[in-house]
Amino acid sequence: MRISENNIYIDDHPDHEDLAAVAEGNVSPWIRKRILEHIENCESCRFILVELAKQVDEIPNLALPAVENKPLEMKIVEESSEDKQTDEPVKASKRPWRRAGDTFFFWVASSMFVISLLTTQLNVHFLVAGAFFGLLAVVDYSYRNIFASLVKAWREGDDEKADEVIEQLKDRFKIG
Amino acid sequence: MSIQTDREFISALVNGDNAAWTEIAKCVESWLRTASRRHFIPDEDIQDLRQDILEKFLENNHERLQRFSFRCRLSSWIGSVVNNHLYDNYTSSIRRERREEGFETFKRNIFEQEKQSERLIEKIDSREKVEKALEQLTPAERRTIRMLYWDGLKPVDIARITGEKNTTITSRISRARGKLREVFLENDKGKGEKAI
Ligand SMILES: [Zn+2]
Repeated sequence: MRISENNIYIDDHPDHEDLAAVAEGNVSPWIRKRILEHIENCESCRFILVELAKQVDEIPNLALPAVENKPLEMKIVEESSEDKQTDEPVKASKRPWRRAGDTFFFWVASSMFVISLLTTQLNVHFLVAGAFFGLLAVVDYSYRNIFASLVKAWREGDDEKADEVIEQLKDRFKIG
Repeated sequence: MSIQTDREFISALVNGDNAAWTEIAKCVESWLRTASRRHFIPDEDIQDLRQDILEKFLENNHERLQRFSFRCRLSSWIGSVVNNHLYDNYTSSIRRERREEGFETFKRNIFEQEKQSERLIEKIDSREKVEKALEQLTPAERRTIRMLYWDGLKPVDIARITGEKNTTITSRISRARGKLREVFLENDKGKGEKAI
């Protein structure tokens, strides 16, 4: 956590706002000096500052879209998702199970169940494992579903649906 | 002007404006995509990371948004949160890469323009030797060299971070290069004398 109050660093790491301000080059000399000293010994803040400094000009300011511009924006979202295709080599995911999610768990559960029917030894063990993975598949599905439907609604420009999902999210995290 | 926009934006967020939350999601994704260009983050992981970060926003950062003091742009602040998350949750391999690549980049580029570059590059044969050589520089020179080769920043980015002029940075780099050249050649002489 990086929380500062009146510029006092509670747990030694600088505030995100100060790190970003240094990357933007828009900061008091005192804060800049403290942060430059800090990153000499803190790899995590160094990483953040360096990544920000490299990209800070590329990311536009946040602005509220005008209502009549909506279709155009959806177009931008789609275009940016097409930009994903790069020629750079892509390393394998470190979390393939996470990526495959519910489908992966579903297939493991099914295989376990079939094996439990086929084997004479340890069939109860396989059955229990099958039930366990089945449960994971259900949990994973319901967890991801809410975000998937939000993204889908945005892509399709279905504002009402998106609003509904965001309301659910807000309820879940007690916001607003 | 941009502060005014950020102010309006935050009040929309705090009031639960869905369009504003959509923009936040897009901004998070933009930062992830720019990071993925350098760190080769697969697309599927970007989606996971985006979800994790958005959840964190809803859970933890909502309150912090209300206390945002506009010392930086809101989009940069989001970049800081995103990169913090990347470092804490994704980057054990990135960390290793950074160290390894830093040494290689240094070795490849430090004496690039020198006449005896090949002879000099041969002498950079271990990381320890480089660390020792860097100790001979002033703190400002060392910091600049680290930012240039290990962090991969351009002189203009370094100047913006340190609040100095571009020309100060470039002349410091060439001074540091000169010193390092002497140090590596000196090492070599020392070895030669010992051998005799
Ligand atoms: Zn730190």
